[in-house]
Amino acid sequence: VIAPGGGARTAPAMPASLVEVFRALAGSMILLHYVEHIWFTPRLIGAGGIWSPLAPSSPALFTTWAIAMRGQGPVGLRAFFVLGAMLAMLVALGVASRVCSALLFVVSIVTCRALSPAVTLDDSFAALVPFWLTLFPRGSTRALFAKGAWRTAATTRVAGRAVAAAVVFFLLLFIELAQTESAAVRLAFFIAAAWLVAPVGRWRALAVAPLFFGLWHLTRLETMSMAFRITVFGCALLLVGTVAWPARGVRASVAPFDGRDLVAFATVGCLGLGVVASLVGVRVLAQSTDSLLSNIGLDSSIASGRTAAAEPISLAFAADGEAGLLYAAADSNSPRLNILLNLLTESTPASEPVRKRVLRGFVVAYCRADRYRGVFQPDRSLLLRRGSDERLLAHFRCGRRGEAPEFAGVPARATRQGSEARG
Amino acid sequence: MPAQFVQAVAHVSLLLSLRVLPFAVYAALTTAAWSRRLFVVAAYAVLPLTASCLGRAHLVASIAVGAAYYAVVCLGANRLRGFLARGLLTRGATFGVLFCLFLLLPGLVVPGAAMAAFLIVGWELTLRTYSYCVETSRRGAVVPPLREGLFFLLVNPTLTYTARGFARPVSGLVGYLRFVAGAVVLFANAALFKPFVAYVHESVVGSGLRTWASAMVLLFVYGLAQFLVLYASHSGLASIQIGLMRGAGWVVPECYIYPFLAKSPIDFWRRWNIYVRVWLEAYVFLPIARRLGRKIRYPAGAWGAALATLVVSGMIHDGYVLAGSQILSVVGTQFFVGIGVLLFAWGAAGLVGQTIRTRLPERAHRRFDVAVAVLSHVGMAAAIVSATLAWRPWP
Repeated sequence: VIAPGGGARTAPAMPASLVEVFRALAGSMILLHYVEHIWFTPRLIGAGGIWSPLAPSSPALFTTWAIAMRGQGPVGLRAFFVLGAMLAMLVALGVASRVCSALLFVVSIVTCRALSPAVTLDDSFAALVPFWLTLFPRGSTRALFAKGAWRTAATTRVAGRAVAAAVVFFLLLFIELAQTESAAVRLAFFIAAAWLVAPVGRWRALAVAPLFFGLWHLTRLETMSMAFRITVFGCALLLVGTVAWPARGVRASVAPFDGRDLVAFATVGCLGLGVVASLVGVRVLAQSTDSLLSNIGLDSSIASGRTAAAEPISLAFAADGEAGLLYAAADSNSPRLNILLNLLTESTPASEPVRKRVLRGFVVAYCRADRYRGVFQPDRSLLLRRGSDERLLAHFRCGRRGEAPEFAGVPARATRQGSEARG
Repeated sequence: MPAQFVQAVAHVSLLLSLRVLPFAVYAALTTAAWSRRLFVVAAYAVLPLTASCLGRAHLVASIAVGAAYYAVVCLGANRLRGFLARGLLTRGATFGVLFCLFLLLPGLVVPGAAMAAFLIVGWELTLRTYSYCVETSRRGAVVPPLREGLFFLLVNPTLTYTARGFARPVSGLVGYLRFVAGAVVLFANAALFKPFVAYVHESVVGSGLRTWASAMVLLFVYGLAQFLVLYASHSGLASIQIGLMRGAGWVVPECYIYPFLAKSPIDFWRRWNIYVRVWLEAYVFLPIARRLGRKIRYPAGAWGAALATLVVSGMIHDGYVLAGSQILSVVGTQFFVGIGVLLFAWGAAGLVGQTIRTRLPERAHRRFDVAVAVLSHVGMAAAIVSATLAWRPWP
């Protein structure tokens, strides 16, 4: 029997089986994600990686840990990723799911920060999903396979406030992610989100229609990697679960509003506030919500793009002959841009997975960042569609090894000594 | 007029603009005679005007907006209490809601200025309103009228509803004298003590620390001076609030009882910031100790509850930083865990001392007691200085 998350007085709110399926799917997805990390990420970060473990970063808690992690050798890093994979497996199995999710959240955030110059949506969602799983009702995957489980699947319910908040949170993120898409896609997500929170009872199921329209468009993007797809699938699954909610179901729940519900709603509120503030142009509020979400680990790569339009860009390049890769001394202002430009603009001998990963990171950075407008003027569709890697590289390739590229008049300062001196 | 003096005046007038505002509003609302009302308003207006003239106008405006916002939020305290009483909210969620309303939201909307101007009051309001909601939502508890509730929330400086003091018709003169004394301490702190700390720091940096002994002596002097600054700022503020409460006809408990006379870290904990300690005891220590007491034997349960209380205290401080500057830090938690380790080490040393004393011959007890007294005084001074340096590290 799946334990209700809101105590003994929990009112029926959400089919427990759907929550369990989502947890199992998400855990499996993150497990695969960490297996992928074990293979090639130590070549990207760490003492023998392509960027400096001494790269200056903010003094935030998780960043400090990430800097310590970058100083590790391949063995230490692999052990760290194995830990992440084990935690993900425990989450998928539903063993001590809340504790494991919380630990996995910390592991994923540290990984995200360590990878920060080339973090992808996979990494971001690998951190976001455990955060929400920590707030979800407790349960065990074994319950799905227990005797007679399928007969009671539709009737066993758990408190659904955190689940509802998670769905709204991901829909808000999708709205942000669809910034580069057509207005129809953004409208689809908006309608889905509005329909979800509206008191329309069983008609709420109709929210699935605009949601799938939007998702269908987003799945065509290069950045829609495995983690994102499964999260989207889980989101849809949970949305389907809301069909059985009574009208005004969330508010009608008898279960007391507890601390986890509050964290869930505060997180959604903060993201919503930031989205609205950025839409209406209240920069101070957008920046502070962005900074808050980013500092608590939710989530720098996704949230940080909507502000900082005035961030100065200074490029620093250097060649790392030993590793055979371009070495970028990360600038505190725009480390991601520096490193990605280095890796993209040169005929680097990096292996294909590394190059592809960096490319994706760049696409995310580019898509999120209004700050780079006026600096880069390529066709956005060129960046976002599948099979565009080579065209993208051709677009940006402009120099020989060790030479700084020039983009629309951005001054390129670039010696290794210079960057180190500034670092 | 030296710039240092001007800075001190600006600092104190800004601080008093924030802290005296609730008392001024209360006095203006409760005084019958219009002439007195005008006098109160005019007397109060001197403070923000002074701060504004000395370049703090934007912070004065922030204080005004923040105070108005807090007053509006406090009007909803009884509604929140009702939710808690009906079981629609848990206590944790209540605290979270208050944290969001009093700290997180203002910190997000006015980043930077909120922390500089009024967020410290939001921190106190969070604790105070939580206490109010919990105590008045208990079964059989009497719900005070809105006016009394608002007086506790917005004017009374204590943080625990059950230890909020009592009304007593006393002469306000003593209270106002104490208010003046507190203001003088605050001013002296800003004009003399803080520059002295800066001077010590500068002289150390200028001369360099050549020997280990000189480094230790200067570090000790610096730590002691920092402690004095910290204590003077807290104590002066407490005197102002307690004095004004007496002027309003209320007797409230003391907030600081000469903490520099403490004989042990636990004694210091009992003397330092009593309002916060009482709050932590009532809403963190006792519930955890009761819960642990059912599962773990004494004294492990009590020590666990004490450590949990210190961790929560650190988290509250870190939460304030998170709300004010949107930076997730664990400096406060680390500090209070360190204090927990210190308390534990002191207790263990006391037990060792007692064991040694029982094994000594009776004629040696007197000398042993003297040695222990000297050691404990030196250790206490070292503990205070180390804790101060950990809280306010070398710049």
